[in-house]
Amino acid sequence: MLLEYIPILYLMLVAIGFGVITVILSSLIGPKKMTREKAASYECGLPSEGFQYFQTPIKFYVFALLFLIFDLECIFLYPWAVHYNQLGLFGFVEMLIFICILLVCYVYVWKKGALEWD
Amino acid sequence: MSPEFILPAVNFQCILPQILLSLTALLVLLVDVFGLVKKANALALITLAGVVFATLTLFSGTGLQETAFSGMILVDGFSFFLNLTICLILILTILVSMNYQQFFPGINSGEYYSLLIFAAVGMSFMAAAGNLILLFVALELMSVSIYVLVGFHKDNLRSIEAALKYFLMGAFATSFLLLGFAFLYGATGTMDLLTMTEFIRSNPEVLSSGLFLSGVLLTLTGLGFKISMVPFHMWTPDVYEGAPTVITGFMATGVKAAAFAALVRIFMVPLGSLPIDWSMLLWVAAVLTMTVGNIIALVQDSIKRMLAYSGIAHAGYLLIGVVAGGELAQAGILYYLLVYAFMNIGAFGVLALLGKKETEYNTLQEFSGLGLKYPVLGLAMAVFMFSLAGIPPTGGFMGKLYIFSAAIKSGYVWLVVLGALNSVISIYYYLRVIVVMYFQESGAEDVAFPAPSPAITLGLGLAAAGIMILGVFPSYFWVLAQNSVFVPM
Amino acid sequence: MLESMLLYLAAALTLVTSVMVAVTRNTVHSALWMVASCFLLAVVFLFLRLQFMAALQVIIYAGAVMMFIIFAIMMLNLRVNPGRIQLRSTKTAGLVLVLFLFPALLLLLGMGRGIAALQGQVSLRALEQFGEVPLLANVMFSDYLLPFELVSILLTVGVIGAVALAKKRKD
Repeated sequence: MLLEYIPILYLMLVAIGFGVITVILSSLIGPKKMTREKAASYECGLPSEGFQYFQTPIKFYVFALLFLIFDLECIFLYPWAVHYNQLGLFGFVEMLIFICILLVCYVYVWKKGALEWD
Repeated sequence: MSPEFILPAVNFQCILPQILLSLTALLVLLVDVFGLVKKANALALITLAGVVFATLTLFSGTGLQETAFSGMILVDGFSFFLNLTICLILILTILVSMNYQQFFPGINSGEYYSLLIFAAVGMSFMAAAGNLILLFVALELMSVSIYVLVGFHKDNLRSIEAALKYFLMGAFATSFLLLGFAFLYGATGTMDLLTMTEFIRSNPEVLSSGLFLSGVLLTLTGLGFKISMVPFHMWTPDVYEGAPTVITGFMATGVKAAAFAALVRIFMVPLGSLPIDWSMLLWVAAVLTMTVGNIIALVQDSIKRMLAYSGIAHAGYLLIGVVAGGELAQAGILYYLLVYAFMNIGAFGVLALLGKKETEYNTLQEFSGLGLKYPVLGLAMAVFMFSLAGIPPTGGFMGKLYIFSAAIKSGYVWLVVLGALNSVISIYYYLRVIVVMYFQESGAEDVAFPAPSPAITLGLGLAAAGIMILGVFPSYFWVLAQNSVFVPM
Repeated sequence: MLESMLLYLAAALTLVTSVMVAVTRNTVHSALWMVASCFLLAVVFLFLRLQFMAALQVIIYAGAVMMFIIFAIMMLNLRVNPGRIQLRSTKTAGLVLVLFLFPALLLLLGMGRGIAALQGQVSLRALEQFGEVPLLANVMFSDYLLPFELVSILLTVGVIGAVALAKKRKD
């Protein structure tokens, strides 16, 4: 049973190896000339300003929670989709009820203006 | 090779009230958000119509004794009686809210009414659940709705504080409950309550296994939190005080009804044969719950807080029934929960009526002279207080009588003596309200009472009438309660 | 043998990372430790043949819930060094509780012969397929139909609550 996961292990090893080897190689081979631009946090884009920690508005919270809820809904869709052939019409109707309830919820959120950034 | 799917038997008839309630909730939500109604009371009236209709459909399922949805739902008298209680609680709360929304317009929204109904759906599934998974999901549905409702005064710090406190502690307690269910499953190999009862009956040795006992303890902790059983009662005063007054009445009665239903279904029937020392644990909890609630209630100046502690004390009286065990005690608990719904929502309804615009934390002094100025309101409050104290012609007395007599029959004489002593203590603080209402000059003139709307008149009238009927003509409901006990099929 | 050793290793690492979540002072670091803990728990699930649970663990906990926690950290503006919070008495109480309650619970569980109840009811074949999605789907859409539908109402209530509490009223 464990052997089934060997490919995943290979993949992980390759991924980690690639990262580690490139970092080591570039530090060994690459030329090292330090300039002011290079020392900046970002070489391109706007220079950062202000303190790193600031209070984010609560508006984000609503979006985060909505994402979480609908993510969970997708999770419930997963077993149904995998086993759809067997579940048939009965499973379809069940899923329809499930989604319809959440659809009402979605309409509510939309009409309430919770998706608007005001 | 994928396993074959077997079509389950589906019987929508037996969950029709819950379906109707859920549809009403969704409808109210949409009606509000689309702005289809303009009148102030329209949302409440739609909700009320839906709930009353659902309550009526409840009666189509009387007298059945079966399971549905693969044992998920137990269709029996027990479910019927508690669903009736929960629907009554919901109707009374909506009636009382219609007046309350004059002070707090934020309450008058689709969210409020739909959350109220969803909480009731959770409660009624808890009462009917025959499976621990359904019980858990229903409990979560109820709890999440109530966490939000408690914090519904967004601009009031105490309401927010109450919501946060209740949520954090509630989430913690729920995790205990879930772990307890997992252990019970591990020990018995089933989530189904009837199968579990069967299993315990045929393998009594499981009762002494550590896994099982841990499960029992953790489950008791989780449910004990919901009924504010000492020592899991710490949240009660702050949350009851901070919540909107109508919600306090709703959660004090509804959550208690649902959680006691779960306690009866899990503890009194499958675990009815637990060795004696485990019921001793509940014995101690019952005595502590009564005593702590009553003693601290004595010194409260805020009526809302006093009623919160009295709520703890009443959980103690109900726990006597759980300790006593047996069908008589079950019927007593059912009867008491019904009476408690009337008297507590009534008392909180009066408080909500007296609430002023800025604050709703009435002190005792503000009640002075109320009985003479507003005779009908004063009379209603007096009925609720007498009933909470358990004084004879009221329903509260009959409820206590039934529970205490069941406990005496089971041989718990000392427990009943302590319960009676506690009732005597409680008379002091309940009667103090009446004394202040009738025998003290009204000092503060700034307490302005609005003209009572038909809704609250109906609500308080129903509650008072219910108490008197249950007190003076108890036989019909007592027989109904006795026929509604949970007996595994 | 190797499998169970790896399982215990993953379980031990889960515990270690969980402790790190609690003791790290920087809240963002603590959140990262929690990601590690969630991933390791997924590995534990894999060894227990609960493939679907492992996938859920990664998608929901390491993905969605973690993002949510980061949002909460940003919203509450928790600094790296939250100043000195004196919690000594609570700490002692907590320590006493942990030191007594945890062994007590373990002791109780150690007494348990209850697991025997499970044996015999579960066939070996069912155990092999235990974590597979089709089996789960079968149970979820037949026996557990009602809780499944109730979950959608629960999710709806969550959304209503979030919007009702966090959204400003239109006045």
